[in-house]
Amino acid sequence: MPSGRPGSLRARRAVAAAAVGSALLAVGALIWFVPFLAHGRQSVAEVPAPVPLKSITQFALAPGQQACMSYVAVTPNSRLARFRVRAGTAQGGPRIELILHAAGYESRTRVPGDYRTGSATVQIVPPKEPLLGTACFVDRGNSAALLVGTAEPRTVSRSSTRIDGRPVVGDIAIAFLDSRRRALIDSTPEIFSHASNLTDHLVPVWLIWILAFLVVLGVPIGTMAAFYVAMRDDLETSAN
Amino acid sequence: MTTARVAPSPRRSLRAAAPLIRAAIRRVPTPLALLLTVALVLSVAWDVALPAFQGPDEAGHFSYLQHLAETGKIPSATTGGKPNSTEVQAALNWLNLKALIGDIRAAPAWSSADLALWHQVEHALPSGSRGDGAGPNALAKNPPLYYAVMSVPYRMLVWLPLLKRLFLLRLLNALFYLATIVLVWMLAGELFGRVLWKQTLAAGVVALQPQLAFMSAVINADNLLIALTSAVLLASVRLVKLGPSLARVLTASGLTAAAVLTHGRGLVTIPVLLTALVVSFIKHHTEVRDALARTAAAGATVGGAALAYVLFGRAGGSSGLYGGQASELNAGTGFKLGQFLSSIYQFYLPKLTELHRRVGPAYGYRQVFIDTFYGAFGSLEVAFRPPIYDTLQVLSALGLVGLYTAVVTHWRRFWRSWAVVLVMLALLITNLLFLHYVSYRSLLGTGGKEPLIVGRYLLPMVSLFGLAVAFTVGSLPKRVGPFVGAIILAGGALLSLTGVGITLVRFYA
Repeated sequence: MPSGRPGSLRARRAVAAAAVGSALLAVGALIWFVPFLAHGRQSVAEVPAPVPLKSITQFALAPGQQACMSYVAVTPNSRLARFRVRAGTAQGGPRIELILHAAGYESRTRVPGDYRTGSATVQIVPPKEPLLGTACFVDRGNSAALLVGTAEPRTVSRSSTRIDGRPVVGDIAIAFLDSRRRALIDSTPEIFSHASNLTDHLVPVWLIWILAFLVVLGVPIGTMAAFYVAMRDDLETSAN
Repeated sequence: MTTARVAPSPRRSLRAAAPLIRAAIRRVPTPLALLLTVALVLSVAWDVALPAFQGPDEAGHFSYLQHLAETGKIPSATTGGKPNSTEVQAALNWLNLKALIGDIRAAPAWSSADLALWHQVEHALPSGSRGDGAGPNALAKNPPLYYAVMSVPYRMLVWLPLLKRLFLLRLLNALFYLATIVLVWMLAGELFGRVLWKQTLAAGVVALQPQLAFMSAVINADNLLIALTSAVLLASVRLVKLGPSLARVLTASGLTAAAVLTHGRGLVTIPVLLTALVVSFIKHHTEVRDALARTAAAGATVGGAALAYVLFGRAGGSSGLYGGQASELNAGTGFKLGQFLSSIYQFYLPKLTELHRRVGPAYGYRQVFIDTFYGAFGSLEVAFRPPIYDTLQVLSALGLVGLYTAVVTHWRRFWRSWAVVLVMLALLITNLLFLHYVSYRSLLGTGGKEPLIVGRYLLPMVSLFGLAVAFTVGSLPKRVGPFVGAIILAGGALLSLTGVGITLVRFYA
């Protein structure tokens, strides 16, 4: 029936166009998202005080002195602490002890002496649940320990820093990391929990899961469906 | 004898309105309804992915809105002891949100312990903590319309804690994004007729523009400006197509006035309105007396709005009428026409030997039209991988070649639609000239350090972007066009999902 052919051809074209778009979405997701989600990475547990953007502030501790920062959050994923040190002398820097303390929790760990300028990463004992406490750096050597931090108004955090009880301007830059390399997909529950906390639980974690499914499936399907329905309706309009 | 009239109860009014609302919803074409649903889901996702105050200048915009909603006054751009209210400043400090802005190495205070601490801090805030952000706030030079509109939901949500209030305000802000999509759909209908797939493509490209979707979840006056500029374009197109009736003139000029009252960059709608009026008078052979009367009506609408702003701004102690980009319009000295034109040339094309070196950093077409137009999130620190921008640049260049080819091959159609084309060109050219001029001025004023413009300043022209894509693809042979359209929409969906994903990972992983 020749009269029906152009219409059916265009109908097939509408389906084919939507199918091509959907196929591109599926292939794109496979080659783009899957490696991104499956790639193992070291995740950040907390960043009590970030490194400065431009100007470094140096916190010097004499032997035996300690610098303490308050309101430092430590979480069950906080397995490593990373901060920056400077050697100070040609022989390297002195031993530094990092003491994390909160109600019912303490972690003590040492950076061996003779280190060079750079970043120091030490293992810490994670708490069973997220806690707020203090982080103290103690110079356990015979020379001055130099810790890198920030006094930039832009990067100063909520933690107030005291050296031997005296308040000082700025923070010692410190971050807690998870020692396990995990795929992003495995960290998803934590990511959603963090996001929910920052909405003050207005969006609970279960709702973020639903939203995630809606985004991942609904956006591509909805887009292609819109395009397909538009072409189909155009066909019906032209047929009438 | 008096007759007492009983006002209908709100419930009864709602019941009476329900069939009308249902009928209105039924009239929405299914593809548009689907696109709006997709856009809403994306906007909510962006709202979740982006922690409080991490959008461009979001703390400043929110502080303006908060001060206006709490006190009825515009904050000062230059004086006062607090740029942000005590409440906002506390959240910025205690949740590490201030350190987070633009710094990829920082993370928000995201644990349950941090949230518990924030609750303690929030409960301990003294009364008046919400309304004391009197300035100096650099954004206080913005005109007040966006903030006044957003003050209504703010007052309704004022009883909520800050993070919840901000989240819901951002959601309401998404209405401007949805309105923009509807306006582009309508514009495509005006230009292409009722060809649903072209309308879907134009509106879909806009809905899936990652930067626009991201901005919909940020408290920022740009959102209303984008919707209003699209509305001005639609009203202007209708004006030139259907003729300068008083209602159409007042609609176009009212929307222009609203754009002028929203942002300094809204000033670019005035030349669009003027072009539409002149073109409309010429095309529809309007008598001189009528033309003068309608021009006066339009002038009175826009001028009245500007006057109201001047008076309101002065009464509120605001020290300047426009800030940001508009403040650069007549800033400083040293303007040289040759240097300005050379800076525009070198923005797009490699330097010629004869030309002086462009003022400022290596900042041009790629950074503005590609990198920060398609997507640079947070405070520009969250970006796609470079190969994605490279691909987008190649595809954009192909699109431009395609647009040029479509225009050349359809030049008769273009010639017949000269009036609409002129209106659209007016928006394109005035916007680009405005941005280049303020960028040049800013570079002169900052010793070449601050080019000022970024891709999101192009978003008021996002309707042109959607229409250009739909026109170009619609000009392809019928066997090919729908396939290319589907591929473009699929690419947009992929980009949008990637944008949300990398932002979520940057802030919460």
